[in-house]
Amino acid sequence: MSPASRMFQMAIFLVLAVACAGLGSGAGKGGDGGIQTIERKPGVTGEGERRYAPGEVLVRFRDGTDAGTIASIQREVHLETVKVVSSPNLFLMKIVDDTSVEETVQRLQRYREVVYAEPNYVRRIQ
Amino acid sequence: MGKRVIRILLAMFVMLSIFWGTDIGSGGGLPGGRRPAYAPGELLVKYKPALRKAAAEYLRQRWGVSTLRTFHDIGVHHVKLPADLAVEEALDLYRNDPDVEYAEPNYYRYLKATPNDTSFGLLWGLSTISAPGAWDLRTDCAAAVVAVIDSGVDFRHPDIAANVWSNPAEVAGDGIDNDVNGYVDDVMGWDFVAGDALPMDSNDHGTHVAGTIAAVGDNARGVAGVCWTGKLMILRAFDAVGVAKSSDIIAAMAYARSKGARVINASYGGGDFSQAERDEISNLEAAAILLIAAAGNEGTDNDSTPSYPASYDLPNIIAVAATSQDDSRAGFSNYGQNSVHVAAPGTNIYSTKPGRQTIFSDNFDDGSIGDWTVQSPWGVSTNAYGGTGWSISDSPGAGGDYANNIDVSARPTNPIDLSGKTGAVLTFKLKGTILAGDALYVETALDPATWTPLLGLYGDSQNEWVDLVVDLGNLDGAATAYFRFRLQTDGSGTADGVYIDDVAVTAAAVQDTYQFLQGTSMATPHVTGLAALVWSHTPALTHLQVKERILNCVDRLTALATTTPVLTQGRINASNSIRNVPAPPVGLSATAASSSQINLTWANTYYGQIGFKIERKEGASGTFAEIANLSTNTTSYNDTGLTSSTAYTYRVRAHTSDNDSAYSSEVTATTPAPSSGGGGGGGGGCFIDTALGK
Repeated sequence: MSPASRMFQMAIFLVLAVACAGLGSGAGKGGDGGIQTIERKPGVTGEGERRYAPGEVLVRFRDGTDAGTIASIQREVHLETVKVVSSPNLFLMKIVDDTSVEETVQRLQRYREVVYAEPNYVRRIQ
Repeated sequence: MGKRVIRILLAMFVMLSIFWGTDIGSGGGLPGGRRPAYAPGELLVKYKPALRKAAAEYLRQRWGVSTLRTFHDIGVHHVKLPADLAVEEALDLYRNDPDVEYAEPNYYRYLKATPNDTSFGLLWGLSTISAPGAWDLRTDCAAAVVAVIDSGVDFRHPDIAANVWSNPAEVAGDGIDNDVNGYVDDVMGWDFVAGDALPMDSNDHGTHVAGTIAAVGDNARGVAGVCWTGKLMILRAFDAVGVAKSSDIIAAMAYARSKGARVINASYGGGDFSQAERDEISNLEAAAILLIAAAGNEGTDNDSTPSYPASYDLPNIIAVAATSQDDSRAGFSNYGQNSVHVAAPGTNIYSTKPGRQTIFSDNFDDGSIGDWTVQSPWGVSTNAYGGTGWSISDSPGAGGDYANNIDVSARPTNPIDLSGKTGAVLTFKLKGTILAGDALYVETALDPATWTPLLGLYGDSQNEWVDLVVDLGNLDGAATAYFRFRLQTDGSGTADGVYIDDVAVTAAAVQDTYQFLQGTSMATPHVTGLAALVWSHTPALTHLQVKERILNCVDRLTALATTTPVLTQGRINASNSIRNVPAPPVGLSATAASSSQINLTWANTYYGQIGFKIERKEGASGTFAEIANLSTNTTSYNDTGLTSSTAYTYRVRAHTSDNDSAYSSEVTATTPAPSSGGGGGGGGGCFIDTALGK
């Protein structure tokens, strides 16, 4: 029995059914950027560290931004629309390559048409 | 002796009527959970002493009024009115009669309304917030739809089902989006996690919260909510483990806004500021919708470490801390002098629990996995939860590590039948070590040829058993469903692997079950229920006036005043809120500013519109008289034109449009003797505003 090379905490990554559709059997190995899904249990280390859904961003475009412009921004930043969260122009988007959420948010914020972009943060029951 | 006691009681009854008579509104049997204020066809009348007999005879003949009883000690007649004379008309007649000292309805008195729910005695929180006093006026909240954004609600629970909101614009089960809001058959809300119309609770949290808001009251069953009847819109954004993405929360808020909710319960939080979430709550503000939010369970100061949504600086938010049974702050509860507004009971809260039935379970304690399909080396191990019996492991046997470059799984052989089921959840206990680069997956399938991973994990549980919950909502309704545990490893090294025990699949069931929980999550729905109750009782209030009622009518608690404060220094009081009786000012102090001026200040604990009445007395033997009536929410008053070398004592009351508060504590200051010469120089300093200064 070999001790863990680092003192891992119990880290768990949730692979959402939707996000998983295109992933191969090795998907998620290593768990980098993984997210915690442990039930709230006192004393379990590592609990509560997951801050946002992996591979997703929320983007608000300026009023009047046309669909073509949004589509071209998506192509440039490698995003797909999951859904319009609230009309008219808050979009939930999925990162289709392995760019990190942080990098994607930074790239999006360079566009004049983007009011803001942010990770899809998580909230927990209290 | 018995007769004498009765007479005293009767006299007390009448006296109570006299003192409290004006507190109660007009009208007999009123709809909407109200109870009649007085007996129809009856009055209590007191004639002037010399005229009693003659007047009674005259009235009997003139209007057909008969005397039922006379209370000689107090000279009051209990009279019966003829059928064609209404109480209001008769009152006018009597009150215009110079021979009548007073006349009034024969008011009903109710024992403080307590419902007959069997476990009402466990609901200390409702007693503490004086809910029974509010229930004297109203128990029904149907006029203010409440949206519960949570882990779903057991909408079939026998103590909740009758209070679930029904979407009037949607036809159940016709497969058509009748109200064209993008959600098909959304008759009671929506499940934003699973994307369907059955927002069943697979966590327990949302059902507990919903029960505190509006479990059916006075139904001889279980618990009562702050609202005995009401309309709960169920918006599921949190999964079985109690986590939600802001995208789902925002969509749920937009749904509540478009479907007419007046109050939203947000018993959740997180540390990251989301501009998108704040924007949507701004939309709620524009739509006059209140968001009641848990302050958070970290035991920290939200003023310095925000918790969202409680900490967004928007007027329609009420941030709620938790108190315990002795009215101290619950140790876990966040606080914040500026950003947390009120507290409410949040420990040992008893409420509804979703019914669950076990569909599949195996604790392996027969030492057999004959009914499992496993790939070697999966097998049973004596490293079991609880120290006895068996578990299953990817590498059983003493000191056995898993191997490099393997991909092996274990699953129950027979499919699980989830047809007709909702809220399916897989639970199991796990301990062990898996290296980074390797992973244990939990996968599900409708056909054992095609698997979908729902969870992957690696790490070290530090020799502890960990409870894991996997939301199987994607399998709800499937007649043949499968799950499996799958270990995949790379070639970079090996470890002990995992032990899995007490595996179970459960689904929602109709059961009459309840449980205790604690958290600012449990405090929040007390406030949500109160907002709906106040709004239903006084529908003309704006959303910010409802907030004023809740924040300004609290019971002050020392535990919320100093080191771990909230804005109002108070825990909610439902009876005072529904009657608009404000809490008294606290922190009153008086300072002599000159020989002719004393400056008063008090703590900034009120919200919105509130006024103050200042009373003063001079010297030790003086009597209090009102010297100012301030109509703004201020924290100071400068009393000028005073006599030098004189002691002045002050007390202050807050006043709403309806009621004065009790008095503050009294403070005394003494003006100094006039300074000899250069007195004019000090004059300018008299008007320094001492208000807040921050």
